Amino acid sequence: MTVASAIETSGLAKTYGKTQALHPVSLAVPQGSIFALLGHNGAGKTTLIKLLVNIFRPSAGSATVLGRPSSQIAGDDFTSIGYVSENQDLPGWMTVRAFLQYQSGFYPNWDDASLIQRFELPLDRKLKHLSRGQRMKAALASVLAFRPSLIVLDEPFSGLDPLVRDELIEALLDTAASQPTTILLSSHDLAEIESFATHVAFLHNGSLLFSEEMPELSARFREVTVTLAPAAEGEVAKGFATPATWLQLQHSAHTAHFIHTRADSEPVEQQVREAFPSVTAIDMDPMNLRSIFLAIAKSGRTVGTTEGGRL
Amino acid sequence: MSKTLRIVAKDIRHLWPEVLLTLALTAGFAATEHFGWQVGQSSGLRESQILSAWMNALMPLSWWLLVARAVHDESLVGDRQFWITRPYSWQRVLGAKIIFLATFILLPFLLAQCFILHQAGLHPLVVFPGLLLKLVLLFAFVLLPLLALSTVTPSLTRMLLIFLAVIIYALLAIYLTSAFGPTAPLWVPMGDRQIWAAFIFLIPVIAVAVTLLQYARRRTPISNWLLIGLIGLLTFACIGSVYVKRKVVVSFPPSASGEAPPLRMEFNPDPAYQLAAISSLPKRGVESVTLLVPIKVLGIAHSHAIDVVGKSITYEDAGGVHGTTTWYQDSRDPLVGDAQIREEIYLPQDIYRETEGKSITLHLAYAVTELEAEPMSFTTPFNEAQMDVPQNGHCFKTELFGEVNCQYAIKKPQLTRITWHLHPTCDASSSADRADEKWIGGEEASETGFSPIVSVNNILNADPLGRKTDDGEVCPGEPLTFTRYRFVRRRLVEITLPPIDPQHYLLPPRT
Repeated sequence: MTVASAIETSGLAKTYGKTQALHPVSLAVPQGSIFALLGHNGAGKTTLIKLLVNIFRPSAGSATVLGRPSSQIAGDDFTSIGYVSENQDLPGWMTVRAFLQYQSGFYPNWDDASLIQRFELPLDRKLKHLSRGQRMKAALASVLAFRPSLIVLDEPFSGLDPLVRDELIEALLDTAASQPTTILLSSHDLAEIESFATHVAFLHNGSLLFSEEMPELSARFREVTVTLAPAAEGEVAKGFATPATWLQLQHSAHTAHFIHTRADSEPVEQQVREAFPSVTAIDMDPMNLRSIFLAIAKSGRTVGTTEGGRL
Repeated sequence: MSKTLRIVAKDIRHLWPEVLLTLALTAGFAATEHFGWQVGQSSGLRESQILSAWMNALMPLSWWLLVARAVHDESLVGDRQFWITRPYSWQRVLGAKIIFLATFILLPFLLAQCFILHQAGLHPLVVFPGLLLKLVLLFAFVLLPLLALSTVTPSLTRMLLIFLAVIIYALLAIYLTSAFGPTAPLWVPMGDRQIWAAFIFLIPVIAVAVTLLQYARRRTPISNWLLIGLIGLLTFACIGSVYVKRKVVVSFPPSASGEAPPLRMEFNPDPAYQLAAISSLPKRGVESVTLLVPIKVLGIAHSHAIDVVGKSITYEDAGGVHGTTTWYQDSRDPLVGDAQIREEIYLPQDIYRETEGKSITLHLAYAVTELEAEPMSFTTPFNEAQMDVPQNGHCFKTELFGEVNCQYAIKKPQLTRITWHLHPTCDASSSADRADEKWIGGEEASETGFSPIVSVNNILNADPLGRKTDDGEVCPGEPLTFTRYRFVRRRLVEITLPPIDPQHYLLPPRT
């Protein structure tokens, strides 16, 4: 494991009977990153996270979390790992105050005063009587209060109204800015992650499609639209083989359209002119996370299909 | 505050209604238990005794509730509990649960035991090791299985359903065992005891394994298989029990040749022991007739006794009709010295009718336990108010029926022979008329239920049914001698009677 990785997995997989919930996953979460684990419902995000915090045991492969094998994580390890999940069973009979007071005794460093104020937590209300947003705030406060080195959040913003979601994101970003913290969070809502994640990984049907830094990903993917001369009628040069870095190539009499996955490093214009001799114009538009995910998912490619382990 | 105590404090804060209920029922048990052993002391206790019985039933239910609620507060089943990703070590959580249960179940139960003993006039400190053993047994055989079952269930409802399923299965298995096994409803042969002892020993062992596995690893599927394995062992124990009951003689070996002292049992041909001939036969439809055959028991050594615990009878008539009964219990008191007994023999009525007017040959096999008196006996003058007796007991005469009842602390007395003399009247001039005796206690001093008091009633009435006799009375000041007997060995004694006419020994049918 490199020192710079807070989490590193190697062929980590999980099966339930004959069902492969998670195909072997190898990824690294750099220290200090805000790492977004993306994918639709049932993609394997929760399984991967629960393997990392030793709620589940892997069927194959291994992982290290803060330098410790994930299968050995227990007890005092959770003084430096904070975990919050959307469907975690909190002790509903406790008031927020009692919950925070009870938790405070388990951590050497605990400071919840500013968090109570920030989240405007109703201290005397029982957890079971809180709204979804308030409950998530209380859960997050109980994690941020002990200043963990690693914060693992499983679908923390699911079902929250935008105001609460922004509050939580802001709190996370402040935490990341004020102390050396790594944040790993999963989400099926790509738009909400795009604004603050430093790294992203896509899971699709239990397989890792790719794992990459956000700026690099944004730079690589381009939606390319090619305008062809009217007389050419969409003719492709003889002997042209579609490059592996082109996804979803479609062309008609006057236009061609595809996603380029290496627009930052390959000569896109030259490739297009070789493919379509009658080209008159080339437009390259940046893509958002959602479009990138959909393009990759529809093409059915995975991280291992191209040289260098990336598309 | 340590993390363990923090969890305990949290449990108390959350489960205070269950804690209060448990404490109230334990207090109720302590307060009403004496009603249960005041039979015959005064009238009007019926409602109180029902209350005492309810407390005895409700108290363990409150334990079940408290154990389940305490464990489920940090549930070990599932993957959504918040506490599994918090800095709780499993040792701390398990330690907290044990401290909680010890504080609110074991300690109150111990105090209740001391209170009940004190109320009965027995000193708790004298039997303190026994009290501690009782707590250990309560923990091992009641709380640990409940703890283990709680660790593999996510909720009270699920646990209740599983608990009921296990109870129904166990009752069914035991019923089938008794249905298919030989007729020995009360007498449990030694081999059978060993099988059940092994099974019962496995209950806390598997409960510990499941509890540790769940707390340390949360491996619910494996734990479930362990518990299912225990149920499987119950099935094996039942099958083994049936097998062993059929092989009972293995536990009671025949006397070796030259073994001293030779114990003999012989037919007593003295016509004085024959019954008056009965002209009418028992009614048809009655399955069996009862013969009372006189037997002499010889060769019981001085300071020894024999206890006939079971018997089997083989009969054969001149025409070759024959049969053998299963082993069945013999409930008579142990025998000392040369003794005369009338052996009750149950003969199928159709056999009796077929052999009418003919003679039959009986072969009797006795499973016998040989006992030896301990060198020191204890003699105390009879005191109607209260008298202390050996083995942590005391006796007193009840107000209502005038019986002499005894109470023992923690466990029933070892097999003890009480001897005394009856007087025609209790006048100063009256001299002792004849010797009398009563056996109390058991060969094995077993532990009792929840109560620390074991009652042994009517100790000065030699009639096994406790009927009042006109043979005389035990007068105040009469020396009562208590002699304990210890187990020496088991043996099988067999005799073949000369051919007899069954009609001469037929017990008159009840009219």
